[in-house]
Amino acid sequence: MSYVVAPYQHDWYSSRAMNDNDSAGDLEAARRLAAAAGLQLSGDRLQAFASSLPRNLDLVRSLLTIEYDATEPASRFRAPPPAS
Amino acid sequence: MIAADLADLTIAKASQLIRDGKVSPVDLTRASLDRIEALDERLNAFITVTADAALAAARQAETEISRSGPRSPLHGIPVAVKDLFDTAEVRTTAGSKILADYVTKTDSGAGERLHAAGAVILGKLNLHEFAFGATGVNPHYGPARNPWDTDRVTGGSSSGSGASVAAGECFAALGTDTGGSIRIPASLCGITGLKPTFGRVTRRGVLPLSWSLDHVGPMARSAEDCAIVLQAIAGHDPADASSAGEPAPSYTAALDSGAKGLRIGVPREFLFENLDPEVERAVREAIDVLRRLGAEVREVSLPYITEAPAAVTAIMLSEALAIHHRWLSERPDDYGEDVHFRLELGATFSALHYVQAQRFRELIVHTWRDDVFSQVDLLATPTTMVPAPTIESGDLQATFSLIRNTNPLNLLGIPAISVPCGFTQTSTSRPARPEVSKDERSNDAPLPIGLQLAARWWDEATLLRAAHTYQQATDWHTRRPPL
Repeated sequence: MSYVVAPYQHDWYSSRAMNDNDSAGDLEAARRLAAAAGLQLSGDRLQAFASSLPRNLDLVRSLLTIEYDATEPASRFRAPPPAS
Repeated sequence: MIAADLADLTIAKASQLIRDGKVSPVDLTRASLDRIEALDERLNAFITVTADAALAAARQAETEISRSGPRSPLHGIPVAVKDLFDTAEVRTTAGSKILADYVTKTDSGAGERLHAAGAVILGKLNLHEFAFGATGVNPHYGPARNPWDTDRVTGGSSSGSGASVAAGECFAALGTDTGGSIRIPASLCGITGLKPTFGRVTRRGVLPLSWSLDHVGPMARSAEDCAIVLQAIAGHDPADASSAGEPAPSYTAALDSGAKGLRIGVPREFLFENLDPEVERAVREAIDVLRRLGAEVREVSLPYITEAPAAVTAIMLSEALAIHHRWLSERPDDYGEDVHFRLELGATFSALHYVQAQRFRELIVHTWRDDVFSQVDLLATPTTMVPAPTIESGDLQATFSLIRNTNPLNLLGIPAISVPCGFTQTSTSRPARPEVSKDERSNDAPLPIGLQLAARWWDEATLLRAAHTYQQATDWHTRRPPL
């Protein structure tokens, strides 16, 4: 199963997909990504956030590659299972 | 017995002396307060000391005990709580500037239970800002300092809890653990710290960091003392939606059952990789001790262990950002740099990441239940990859080495304990601040190393039994920092 990068076609993902060397575009896309979460970032904060994105997305890539069972019955996380 | 010795007793011993009428709660409380007075300027473990209230509570305990005996082994014992627990009429800062003057009218659920057990509360302990970090370096209240070497971090986020218990400023402390924040400072400060099963201890009145990962638990100078504190705080709280109905057994009853028959799993992969050599040596020797005590030690594979940190990250950062969203928007400059940055990183993750991380949790919980805990009763690993880093070494650099082995267990919700299992040769054999000469440094003490044991859900009793058995055969937990 390959990693699907842009399930939401988000600006930042799209920018990365289109041009890996577009640092200004990455920065603007990162600003929009933060703004979508209600964070107004600029200057060093924005730069640090933008720099961290590839690393963080690499980290969670595995979560999207695990083959979950799509037919499992609906159930929320049950915390720990009860003592046997 | 002189006051200086009283402060170094275990709860079990102090409680016995109270029962025998040989010391009083007031004696113990004065000994703790004297220790705080003597050391805390250097250690910075406490944010607020409630000395008058503690002495009043100690006098009341003394009266009650003389009239009708102690109502629990904690009756008259001086303890402290991380400054993340609501405490009636005492400020609860969460180690932050934002809540610097926050005062509630009620105690946390765990605090209520400590009071009900008769414990004497000495005050509120330093922590990483909003419990969101593993070093305990706090920009608003200063870093709590490691009693074994005050140039080094205590580990966090329950930093003051680790330092104060290790230094004898209190007999036990309450901490919280979202990715290792009880076990890490326990390991780095040379004490015993227990993260119970998710749902075992009420979180009512505790400021959250990450709703689905936060745990409350005890930190003390022995496994037996952790059992005593856990007994007081465990059990269902109808006012906490995450509190489980699972009955709490006696945690002290099985302590002396030994290690014979226990099946201990040593992970084949990941958790023993890239360790400091002294940490690996000490932990493997500790596992050998358990083997010699009768445990059956075998290698075990841990399915999905390498993916677990990703799920913890996606969940913790997303939930933390949700919790802090309003403050982060309205008061961004009131956060310390590292916590501000971590909160911002929550915006990295999409809804898909968060949901798949929770789904992954369901997967790993059931896989470990069926494939790991069908083969073994306990897992044994190093608590941290390294001993205490220097305060100057930088938060982000240190964090990964501290949390890697602890945070997967928060995702699983299984109980885990850190017990002292050795020391490095000397702290000066490791890099410290180069501009500080050996003579100017706080001391030349070796640094503690922690063994992490984990058990299946709800089986804190077996965990404590193994830790206690190990501590009966070794003396690492009895060593005190040379302050």
